[in-house]
Amino acid sequence: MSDSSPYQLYPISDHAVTLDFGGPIRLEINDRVHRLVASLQQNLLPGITDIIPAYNSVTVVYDYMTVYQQQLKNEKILPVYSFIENWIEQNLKDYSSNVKTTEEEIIIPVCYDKSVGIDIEFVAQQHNLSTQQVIELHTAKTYRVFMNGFLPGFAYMGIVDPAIQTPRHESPRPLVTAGSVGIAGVQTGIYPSNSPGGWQIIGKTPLPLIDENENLLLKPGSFVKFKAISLLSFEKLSKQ
Amino acid sequence: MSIQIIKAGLLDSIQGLPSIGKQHEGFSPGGSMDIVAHSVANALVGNKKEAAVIEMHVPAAVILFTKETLFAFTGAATSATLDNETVYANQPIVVNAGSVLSFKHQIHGARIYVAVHGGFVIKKGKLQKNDGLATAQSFDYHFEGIGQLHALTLGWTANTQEFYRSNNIRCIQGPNMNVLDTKEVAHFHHKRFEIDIQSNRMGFRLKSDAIQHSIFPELLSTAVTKGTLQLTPSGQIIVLMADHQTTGGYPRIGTVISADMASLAQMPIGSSFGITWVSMLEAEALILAQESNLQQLENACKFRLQEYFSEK
Repeated sequence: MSDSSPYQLYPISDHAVTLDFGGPIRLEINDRVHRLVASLQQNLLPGITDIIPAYNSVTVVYDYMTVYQQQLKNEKILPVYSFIENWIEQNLKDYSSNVKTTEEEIIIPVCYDKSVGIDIEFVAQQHNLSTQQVIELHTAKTYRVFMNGFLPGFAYMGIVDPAIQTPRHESPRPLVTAGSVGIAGVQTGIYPSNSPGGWQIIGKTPLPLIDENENLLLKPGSFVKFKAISLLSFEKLSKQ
Repeated sequence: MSIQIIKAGLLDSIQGLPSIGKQHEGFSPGGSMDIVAHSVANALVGNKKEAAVIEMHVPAAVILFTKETLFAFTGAATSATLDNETVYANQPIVVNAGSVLSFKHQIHGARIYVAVHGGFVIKKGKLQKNDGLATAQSFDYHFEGIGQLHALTLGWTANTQEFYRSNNIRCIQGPNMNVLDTKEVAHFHHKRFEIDIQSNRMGFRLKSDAIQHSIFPELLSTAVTKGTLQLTPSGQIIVLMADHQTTGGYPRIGTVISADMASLAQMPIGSSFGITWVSMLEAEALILAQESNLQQLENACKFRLQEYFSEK
């Protein structure tokens, strides 16, 4: 499969290049992002230090000197950023259906009780729904992790059912506790650690999103489904 | 253990080189703010570039050496006090156990780096008083005890002046430069930017006459890098530094070139500079020149150390 959709390719630094598909948040565009990332990872070059997916873009960060020295060996004298741009474009042309991206679905237990889902009543009122309907709509869909960012392990997921899409608070709360599940427009996400935050908090998961060795539960490209649990099981699971 | 912090300074920490391969999970690369000073300090004591060093601000920590060792300091301090003697920056110094290092002299910059032969074991977070720091390995070089002397400087100094500039920082233009008013673009090189007090290892907030811009387009978050100039709605710039978030949604009007990041990291709060735009080709040529000079300096340090200790 070759990708002929429009894109922009530009350096964002003297050691990073971004390929930008443009457009709003859309699953199809983000799927292209993860396919391109998988292809780049399979054809990795010496000196590439990070490949960072976002909603509709992929950024390749590299060590200038390593890539430059590699080029000298190959007697190719291109500016290093052009060389990286060519490599990204080549992967965009070649990436095929045999590029494997993850299909596994991760189930996240969430307690939607208003004692931990402090904005769930507000979200329900905004849309003339009961809190039970909000829970049903939030747990009905399988979400894609578009990207990680903001905090280590914070997963931006979507797309939230239009019936419960709610904009973030105008000013962020000074403290949102770890495990809080929120909605911001078309996105849903989980705070992996205590942090200031502006998302509408509709529930909380007892699962840690990041362990002591900095391994993440939710990575870019993961598929996620939420499962409602009672306050009692939330408290039990939190103690484990 | 080779070092003990006997008086904590402002935000002392242990830093390595920026970590790689975790930014897609939201982990900031971190690492020393001034990679040049970090690298020179390590080279002077015979360490590999990636060895961990102590990064200090002003006021700096007071350090007790609990073991005979070889150390060096670089960056913002040109001299320091070792017990009652003055010792100088950018030199390898052999020190006796029991000696105390403090920084009472005038500081020219923002950050001081201390390297000890063998490097430090990485330890997360701010250093506290009474923190004892272990070095990763024991001293490789053999030297006689230095007797009554507190310290013995080995007799050479690394010249780091060529790596630093003040007054002006070079940047490449960013993908969202088009949010600036055309008049603003034409006059940009006349603007001065002052490093605001609300600056830290995550980012430097810059104060200037508000930058005139159009209404921000709806930008989706994308990856950002060290040195990214983010334009905030108030028309002020935030420059992302070592502990930056990995993604951001503010317009990116430019990025500080890699070769000038050490200079920027050494600019104290309240100092100001202008921005000069350079092309990607110039930025690449400047990395190459800086890395080659640094490599030469590292080789010279290694050669001198080997020569010194083989003669003993």
